[in-house]
Amino acid sequence: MYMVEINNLTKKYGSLTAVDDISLKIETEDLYGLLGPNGAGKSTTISTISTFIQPTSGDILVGGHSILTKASAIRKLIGLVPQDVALYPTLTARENLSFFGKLYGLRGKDLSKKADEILETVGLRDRGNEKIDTYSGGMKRRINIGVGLMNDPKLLILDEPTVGIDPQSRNHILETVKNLNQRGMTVIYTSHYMEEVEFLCKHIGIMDQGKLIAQGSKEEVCALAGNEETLTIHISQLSAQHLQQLQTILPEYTMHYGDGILTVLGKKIHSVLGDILTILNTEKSKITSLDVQEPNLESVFLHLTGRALRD
Amino acid sequence: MHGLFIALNDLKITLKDRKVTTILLLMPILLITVLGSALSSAFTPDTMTDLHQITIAIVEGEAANLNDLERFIPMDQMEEIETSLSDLDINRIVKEEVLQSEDIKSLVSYEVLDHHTALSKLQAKDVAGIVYLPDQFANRYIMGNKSEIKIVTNTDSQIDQMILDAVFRSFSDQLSLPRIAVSVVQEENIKEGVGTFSFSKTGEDIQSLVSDKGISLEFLQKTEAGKQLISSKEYYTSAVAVMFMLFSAGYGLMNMLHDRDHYTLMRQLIAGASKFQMLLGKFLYTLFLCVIQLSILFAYGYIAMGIRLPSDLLAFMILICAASFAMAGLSVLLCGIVKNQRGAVIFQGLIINILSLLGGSFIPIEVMPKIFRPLADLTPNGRASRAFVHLIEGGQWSSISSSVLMLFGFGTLCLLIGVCVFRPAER
Ligand SMILES: Nc1ncnc2c1ncn2[C@@H]1O[C@H](COP(=O)(O)OP(=O)(O)OP(=O)(O)O)[C@@H](O)[C@H]1O
Ligand SMILES: [Mg+2]
Repeated sequence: MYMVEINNLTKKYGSLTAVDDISLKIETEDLYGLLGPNGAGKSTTISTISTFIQPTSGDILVGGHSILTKASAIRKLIGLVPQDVALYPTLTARENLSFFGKLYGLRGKDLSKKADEILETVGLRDRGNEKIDTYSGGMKRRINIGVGLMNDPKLLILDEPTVGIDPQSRNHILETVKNLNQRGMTVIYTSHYMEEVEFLCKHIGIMDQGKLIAQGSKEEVCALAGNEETLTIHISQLSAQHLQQLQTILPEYTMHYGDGILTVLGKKIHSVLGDILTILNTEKSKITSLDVQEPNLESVFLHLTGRALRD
Repeated sequence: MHGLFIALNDLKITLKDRKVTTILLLMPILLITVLGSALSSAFTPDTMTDLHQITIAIVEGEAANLNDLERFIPMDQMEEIETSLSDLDINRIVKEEVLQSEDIKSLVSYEVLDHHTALSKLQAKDVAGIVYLPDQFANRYIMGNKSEIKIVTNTDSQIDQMILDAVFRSFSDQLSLPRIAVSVVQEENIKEGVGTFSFSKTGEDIQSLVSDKGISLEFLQKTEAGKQLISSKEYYTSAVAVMFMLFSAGYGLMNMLHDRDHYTLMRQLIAGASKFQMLLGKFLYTLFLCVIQLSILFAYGYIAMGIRLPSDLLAFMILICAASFAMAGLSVLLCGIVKNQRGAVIFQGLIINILSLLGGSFIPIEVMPKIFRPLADLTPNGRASRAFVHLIEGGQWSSISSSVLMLFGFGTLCLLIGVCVFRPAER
C-alpha cells in the first residue's frame, strides 16, 4: 500500500519548468527524503502533494485519493510544515496552535489537551505562553512543526525544517521526526543537507532542475555512484596544467576543481592518495584540509550531475 | 465557521498591535479634535465683540493658471473647469467663507488692495496687517503642493497679531491637516514594508499635529433650508471617520499579504479553510474593524467634542453597517487583485488619497470644483460621509436610503469580483 504515488507530475510557471515529469512511490510508514539543491523543485513538488498548487499535468494519489478530485480528503490526512516559519509572530505558541486547531475542528478541552500534547512533543511545554516573536530560531522551527501535527496526520510533510538553526535544536528536530515515524507516521522530509537525509531516511529521491535523477533505498541510491569514495582537498590554487596532469595519470577518477576545493571521485581512493599529493605539493599554495569519505549522497549527486550538492 | 475564526484571529492581532491601533483610532481622534475645535468655543461671539475690531488689507493671489493642468484635461472641458476652478479660488474662499463668517465678521474687517497701497497703509497704521494670499492656489492644491499664506503685521500690536495668526493659521490647518495626516500614515506604512517601525516617531508626529493646532475656525457648511446647520466638528467627525475606514480596508489586505508571504495562508488551506472562507475571514475582519472604528469615533465626537448624534438612531446604525460592509467588500477586492507589498503601497499611497480627496475628507465637498462634486457620490467614502452628515443635520431614513443601497451594492460588487479573481497560490 502506497501513501503517495506521483505519476508524471509536471509543474510549469510560464516558460520555467519547476517540476519536470517526475514519478515516484512512497510506502506507508516510510521516511522518505527528498534531496536537492536550491531551486531543484522540492517545495513545488511538496506544495502539489499537499494540494496547495495544481499540477500542469500528471496526478498524485495520497492515501488513494487523487489531488485533482479529492483535495479535501487529502487535506485531512496530511500535516504540512512549510519551508518558512508559518506562524503569527505576535501571538503565543499556544494561540497559534489553538487557531489552527480550531480550523481543524477541535474545540474546548480537546483543543487545549492537543495543544499541551504538542508543546510536550516539540519540547516547549513551559514556553507555550510566550510570543513567537521572542523565540529563538530553533524554537520557532520546533513550534512550526508542532502546528503541522495538530490534526494527527497520517502523512507528515516537512520542507527543510532545519534551515538556519543551532545544532542542538536541529538534533531535537531530527529525533522528533524519527520518533514520529517510529510511531507509524509516514514522513516526507526535504532538505539540501545530505547528512540529515542520510541519517533519517529509509528511502531517498534526489532532485535536480525539476527532474528526479535518482531514487530508491539509501543503499540503492548510494550504489548508483558505483560505491565510489570522495576525496575532498581544500587548496586555494590549482593550475589547469596540474589538474590536467592528475586527470591523465588517473583516468578512471572523476575530478572537479572549484571554489578552492578539489573533489576526486572513485574507488579505493587511498591507493592513489600518494600520487595526487605528489602533484599537488608542486603547487605554490598549501593544502589546508583533506578528507576521504565513504560512498555517500554527495558523491552520488556529484557523479550524476558533475556538480556539488551545495554551491 | 472557518471565516469567522480567521477574522477573529486577525482582529486579535490587530487590536494587540499598538502601531495599528494608533493609526486606526488615535490618529483620527486627534484629527477630529484638531479640525473640529471651533473658534466659537474659545471665544463666544459676545466676548469677541468686546475685543476691539481690526482692519486688515488683503493682497489677492494670482489666479490659478490652468495651463499646467491642460495636459491632463481634454480641451473641450477646459471652459467648464475654468468656471469650476473659481470655487477653489482662495481669494473667494478667504473673503466669502472665512472673513464673512459670523464669528469673524465682528472681529476683522478687510479691504482688498494692491501690494504698494497696502504697504503704505500699514506704515500709516491704517490697517493692522497685510495678508498675502498664495498664487496659483487651485493648481498647487490639486497637485498636492504646499501653498503659503503670508501675513505682515505692525509689530507694536500684540493682540492684533494674535487674532490674525489664530484666524489664518487655523484656516490653513483646516486645508492642509488631513493631507499631512494621511502622508504620515502612508509614510509609516511604506516604511513598514522595508524596515522596522519606531513607535516614538509617530508619537512625535502626532504631538506636533496637536501642538500646532492653535485655534481653529468654525466652518459653517451651506445647508438646505429647514435643516439644522452642521458644525465643522460634525462635518469632520464624519469625514475623518470615513477616511480612516479606508485604512481598515487596507489592513484587511495587509493581513492577506502577510498570510501569503508567511505561508499561513497555505496552512489555512490545508487545515480545511476554502478559498471562499479565507476571503470571508478578511471580509468579516474589515467589517468588524470598521464597525468598532466608527462606533468609537462617533462616540468620541459625541462625548468629547459635543457633536449631535442623529435622531434616527436605527438609520444611523444601518448606515454604520452599510459603510463597513462597503469597506469590507473593498478589502476582499484588494485581496483578490493585489499580490505583493508594492500593490499595497500603491493602494495606501495613491488610491486612498484620491478617494479621500474626491470623497471630501481633505476639503469640504462644497468648496471643491463643481466637476468633482458628482464624483464624491460615486466614492463609497464620499457617499458614506455625506449620508452621516445628512443624518446629523436631522435627515431621516428616506434621505439616506439610496446611499445605504449604494454602499451595500458597492460592497457586494467588490466582494463578487474579489472572490472570482482570488488565487491563493499565485505570487
Ligand atoms: N510561484 C512561483 N512562480 C514562479 N516560479 C516559481 C514559483 N515557485 C517556484 N518557482 C520556481 O520554480 C523553481 C523550483 O522552486 P522550488 O521552490 O520548488 O525549489 P526548491 O527545491 O524548494 O528550492 P529551495 O531549496 O531553494 O527551497 C525555482 O526556479 C523557482 O524560482
Ligand atoms: Mg524549497
